[in-house]
Amino acid sequence: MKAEHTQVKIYRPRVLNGLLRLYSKNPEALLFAGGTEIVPEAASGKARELAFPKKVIYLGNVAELSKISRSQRYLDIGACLSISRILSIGRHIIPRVLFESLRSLGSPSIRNLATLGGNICSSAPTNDSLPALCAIDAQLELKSLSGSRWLPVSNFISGSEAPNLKPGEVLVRIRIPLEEWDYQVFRKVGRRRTSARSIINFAGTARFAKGVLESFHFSFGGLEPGLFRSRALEAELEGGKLPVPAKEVNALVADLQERLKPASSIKGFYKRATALRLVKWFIGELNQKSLEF
Amino acid sequence: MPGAGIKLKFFLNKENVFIQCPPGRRLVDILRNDLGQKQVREGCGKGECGACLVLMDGSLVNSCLIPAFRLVDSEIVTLEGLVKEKIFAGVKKIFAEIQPFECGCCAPGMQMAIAALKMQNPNPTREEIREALSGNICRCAGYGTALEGSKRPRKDSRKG
Repeated sequence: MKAEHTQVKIYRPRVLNGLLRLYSKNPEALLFAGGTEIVPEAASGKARELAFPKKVIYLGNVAELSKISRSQRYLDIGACLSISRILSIGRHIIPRVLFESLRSLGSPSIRNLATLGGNICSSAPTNDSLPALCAIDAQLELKSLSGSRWLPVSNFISGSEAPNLKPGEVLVRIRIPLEEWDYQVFRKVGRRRTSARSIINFAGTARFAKGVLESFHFSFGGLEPGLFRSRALEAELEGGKLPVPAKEVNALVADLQERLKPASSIKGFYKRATALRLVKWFIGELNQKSLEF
Repeated sequence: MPGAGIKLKFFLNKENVFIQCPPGRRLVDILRNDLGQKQVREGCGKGECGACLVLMDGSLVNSCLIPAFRLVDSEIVTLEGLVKEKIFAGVKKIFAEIQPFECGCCAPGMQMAIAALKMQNPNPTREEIREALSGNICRCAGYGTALEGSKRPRKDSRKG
């Protein structure tokens, strides 16, 4: 991000087609939404001006990126909607696990600036929205001049790699399935509740009927190599009786331990141990909840 | 004021402002250094400490995270502008009375955060105030007195 400041060219498209045309011609341009990730990076040392690349496309004026629509099955959220605007939809509409993850994302002033699309695309492994979106099977709509495609969050970001975006492609919408969950939980492990990055974060959802665990999803952020979710592990408990017997819990934890990369640092060791404890805790809470149900 | 760059028009405390500056100049620098709004302070420069809070189009934001090109036609309110507003009178009075700050570096940011909360919710609970102040860092007086100060104006504002 080094450039002569006065040479920076700012584009402000107002419609989505204009944005896609502009970005396909300038795929090297920086897409700027809320700026809460970009600006601290661009503020190099004590420089008074931010060092941006030569071309910056500001997304805040594109009306299509700031829309919310709701059908019976889905909630579609424009990629450029601020986190506080999404939270204002209310905890009765947004799945609780996503609501809690967005609430833990920075302070109120940061949430007024930060966008959900930005949180996904910056794809820092500890971004709080990622495990929640992953656990509820959210889909992302990516558009370019050549068309659009839908991807689940876990395919968009895998491990520590850059997001699965082709040149000229823009994240337009996030589709949240409005399923009923009997138990949903989000936990952030970090130095501070707000204004501090998570060390590790966890999202879990479950649905049960007639003493059987019908659906069981969990996802982690911040582990090595990054966002983690395993359908195979979830399937180990799905369809089983509730409360989950201790033997099955221990088997799941042992399998999870095998799948997680061996820690390469003390911090990695801590994260891995925390992840295992979180899964155990989640199933314990789930068992408790199923008894009350 | 740096001359080169883009020309901008925005509203500062309800007054028109025309400036020319590089597109990457931060709002905190424009306000404090170019336009003399000394109640906008820079602490961390990363959006963590809340010393530079201002209202932008009615929303509380960290001015250290706003580049100049985002300012086009926006409406900025700093603490200097807010003191003229009725909503701030109660906050100012009670904070002056109990003096919750020591060095005062974080004071404008905290007062902005409280005022922004009270605009949306005139009678916030203790938990809501804690949440509103979660983006402000104080390194000397702590948060207890500021919290207390934020609770107390309820009665005063009703009288006024």
